[in-house]
Amino acid sequence: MDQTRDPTKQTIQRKFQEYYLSPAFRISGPQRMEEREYGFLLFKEKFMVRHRAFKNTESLLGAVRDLTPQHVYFSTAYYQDPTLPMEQKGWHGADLVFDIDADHLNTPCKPTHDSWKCKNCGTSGQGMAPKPCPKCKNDKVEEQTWLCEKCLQEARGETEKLLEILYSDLGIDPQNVRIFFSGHRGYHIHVYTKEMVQMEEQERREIVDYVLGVGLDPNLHDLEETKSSGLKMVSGPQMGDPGWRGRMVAGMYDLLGQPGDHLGLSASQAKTLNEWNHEALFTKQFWNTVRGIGLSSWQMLIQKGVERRAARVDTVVTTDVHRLIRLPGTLNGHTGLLAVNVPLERLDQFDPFTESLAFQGSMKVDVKDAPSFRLQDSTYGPFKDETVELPTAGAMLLMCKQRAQPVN
Amino acid sequence: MLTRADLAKYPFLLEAQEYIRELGFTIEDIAQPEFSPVLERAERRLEEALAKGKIAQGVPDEKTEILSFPISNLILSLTGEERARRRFALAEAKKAYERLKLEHPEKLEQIATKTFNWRIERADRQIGKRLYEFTITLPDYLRNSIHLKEPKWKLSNRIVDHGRVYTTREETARLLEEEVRTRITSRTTNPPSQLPPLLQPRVDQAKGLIIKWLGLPTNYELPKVPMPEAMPPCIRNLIDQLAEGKNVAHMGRFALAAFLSNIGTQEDEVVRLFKPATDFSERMTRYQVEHIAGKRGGRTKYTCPMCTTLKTHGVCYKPDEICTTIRNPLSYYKTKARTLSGRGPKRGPN
Repeated sequence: MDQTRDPTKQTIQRKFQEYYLSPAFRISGPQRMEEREYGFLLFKEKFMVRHRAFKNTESLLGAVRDLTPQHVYFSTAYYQDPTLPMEQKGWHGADLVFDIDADHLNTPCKPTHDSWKCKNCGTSGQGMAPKPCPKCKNDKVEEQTWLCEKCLQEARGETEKLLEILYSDLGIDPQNVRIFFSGHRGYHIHVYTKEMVQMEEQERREIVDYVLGVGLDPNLHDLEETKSSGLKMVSGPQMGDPGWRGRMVAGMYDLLGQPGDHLGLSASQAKTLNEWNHEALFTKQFWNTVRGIGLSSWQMLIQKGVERRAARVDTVVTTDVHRLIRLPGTLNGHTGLLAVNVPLERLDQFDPFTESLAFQGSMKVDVKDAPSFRLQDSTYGPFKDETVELPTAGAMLLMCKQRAQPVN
Repeated sequence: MLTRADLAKYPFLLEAQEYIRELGFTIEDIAQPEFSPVLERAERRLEEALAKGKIAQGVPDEKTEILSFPISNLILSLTGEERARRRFALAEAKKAYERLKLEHPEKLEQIATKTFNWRIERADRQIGKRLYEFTITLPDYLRNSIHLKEPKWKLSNRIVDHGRVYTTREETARLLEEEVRTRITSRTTNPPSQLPPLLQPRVDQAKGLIIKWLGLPTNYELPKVPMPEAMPPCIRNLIDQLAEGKNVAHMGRFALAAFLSNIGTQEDEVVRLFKPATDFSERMTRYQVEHIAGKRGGRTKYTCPMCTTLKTHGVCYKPDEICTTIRNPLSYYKTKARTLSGRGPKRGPN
C-alpha cells in the first residue's frame, strides 16, 4: 500500500495515522461545514485530493483517518455544491482571513536558525533565502527554516496589531473573530462577520491595503505646510484622531521612544529629535516645535510610523476568495504540531511549544543538524550528527523538518 | 419626504417606481395620444446620453419626466446593446450627482437608505480640515469606492472608525452616483411579451442612434497580430526580467501569461518567453500557459489581473501617462495599439 521508500516519511506517516486513530484526535469542524470544500495533501507523491464535502464532523474525521494526509485544508469560501468544479460550485461568500507568517517577516534571529543552499551552484548562506541565488541567479534555492520562539513572538505581535485595527477601525466584533496557530510559523485570523463574508476580491484588497498602510498618503490625512506672514507652518493629524490619522502619530511616538536609529534623517536632525521630548506628540501644535524638522522630514517619519503600526499580513491569502486553508485540529506536515484554536483572551499567553503538541512518549532519532528548541519546560539541542532520544513531539518536529531520521 | 419634483429629478428611485405603479399604467397606454410627450422625452433622454454622455435638465412636466425614464430603459433593453446601456447609465448617474451634491443632507440620507439600503448616519463632525456630514458602513463605502481611482478614495486615505467611514456631503453624492450607475446598468427590464406596435419603430430608431453615436459594433477590440510596442511598462518589464534570467514571482508570471494569451499570442511564443527562467520546465510551463488560455482544466480563460492587484503584489512598474487612464494592462494595450495603428480614439464618427 505504502509506495514511498523514504523511511523518515514512512515513520512520519505512521505516527500521523496513530494520532488520527487515537481518541485524542478531535475536531469541531468549521462553521457551516457542509458548505465548505475540503482538500487533503497526501504523503504519497504529494497528491492533492480536492473538491470534497462533508455533512458532519464524523464523516470528516473518517476521511482524515482513512487518508492520513500530510496536510488537511478547508475552503474559506462557502459553496452551493463544494464538490463541483470551481466555476460550478456556486460561491456564497468567504470568511475574511488573514495570514501572518514568520516566513514573510525578516526577523533579526533568522541568520541563527534559517539557512539556504542553491541546488544549482552550491552557494549557501544563513538567514532568509535570497531569490534568485546571488551567485548563479538560479531560482532553485532551497530553504531550511526553523520555527523559533522569537519569530513566533514577532508573528504574534503582528497579530495583535491586526486585531487592534480590526476592532477599532473596521468595527469587527471580537465574537466574530477566531485565531488559529498554524502549527508552523504563524497565525491565521478568521473573521466571520456577515457583511465581510460577502465582500469580493477588490473590496478585500482595499482592506488588506488598509491594514498594511499601502497607498496611504499623509497629505490626504491633512499633513500640510502653510505660509503665514513669511513663516512656514506645518499642520497635520493628531494623536487620538480616529483611524490611521491617530495611528500614524502613535507610530511616530513608538519610533522616537527608541534611541539609536537615524530614521533616514541627517545626523543633526536625528540628534535634535533624540533630545526632543517626544511626549509633545500628545499636544496639538507639535508639528512646529522641532527645529530643523520640516514637512519632508515629517513625511518620512510618518511613513516609518505607519510601517511600524501596520500589520504585516500576507496579501495573497486575504484576497483569494477560493482559498484552501489549514483545518484546525489537524497535524501540520511541516512540523508534526497541531493547528489549534487560540482563545482571543489568551493570545498573549499562548505557548505554541506546549499547546500544540500531539505526540506522547519518546523516540530515538539520528539528528543531522538542529538548532536548540524548547518543548514545554525543557530545552533540547542544539544537535549535530548525533543519536538522541527525544520526546516524540520533538523527534517528529526534527523529522518533519528533515533534520533527523528514525533510528534503524 | 420626497416630493414629485424629487422623483422627477431622480426617476431611478424606489419611490418613483411606486409612483408609477400607483398611476396604474400598463404598456398598452403608450399608444394613447397623451402619452406622446413621454415617448418623445424618453427618446431625447437616450439621444442626449448617447451623443453627449450627459443629460440636460428635464422637461417641466414632472409626470412626463418620471414616466419617460422607464420607457428609455425599455427601449434600450429591446435594442440589446450593452454598451449603450452603460453609456445611458453613466449619463443618468452623472446627472443625478450634479443634483444630489446640492441636496439637503436629510434628502441624501433618505435616498441612500430607501433605494440603496445604505446604513448611513449623520456625523456633522469636523476632523482636521473637513466637515464630515455622514458616516457610512464599510461595505457600503467599498462597494462603490472600488470603482473610483483618485487616491482620496483609497481606504487607507479615509477616516475609518469602528466600521464606519467618514464622508463629506459631496463625497456621499459621488458614492451615490456609483450606486445609481450600477442600479441602472444591472436593471433588468422584462420586455412585455407583446410589444406594442408603436414601440418597434422607436426601438429601430434607437438602434440607428446607437450606430450614429457609438459607431458600428466592431470586433476591433485588439489588433489581430500582437503589437509588442503597445505593451504597458509592467508587461515589458516582466519580459525583460525573464529574458535576463531574473526571478519573476508567481503573480508576475500569471499576469504575463494571461496578458499575452489575451492579446492573441501563440502558446509556443509564450512558452518561449519563459525559457530563460532558471526554473524553466517546458512541460509545466506549457501546461500552465494552456490552462490560463482556457484550453485545459476548468476551461476558464483567464483575463489579465487588474492594475490594483498588480500594485498590491508589486508587479506594477513605472506607470506612464496612459496608465493613469486605465485599470487593466489590457486596456493600456488596446488604447496604445489604437493610437499606433492610426485608428485614433474609439468614440464616434463626429
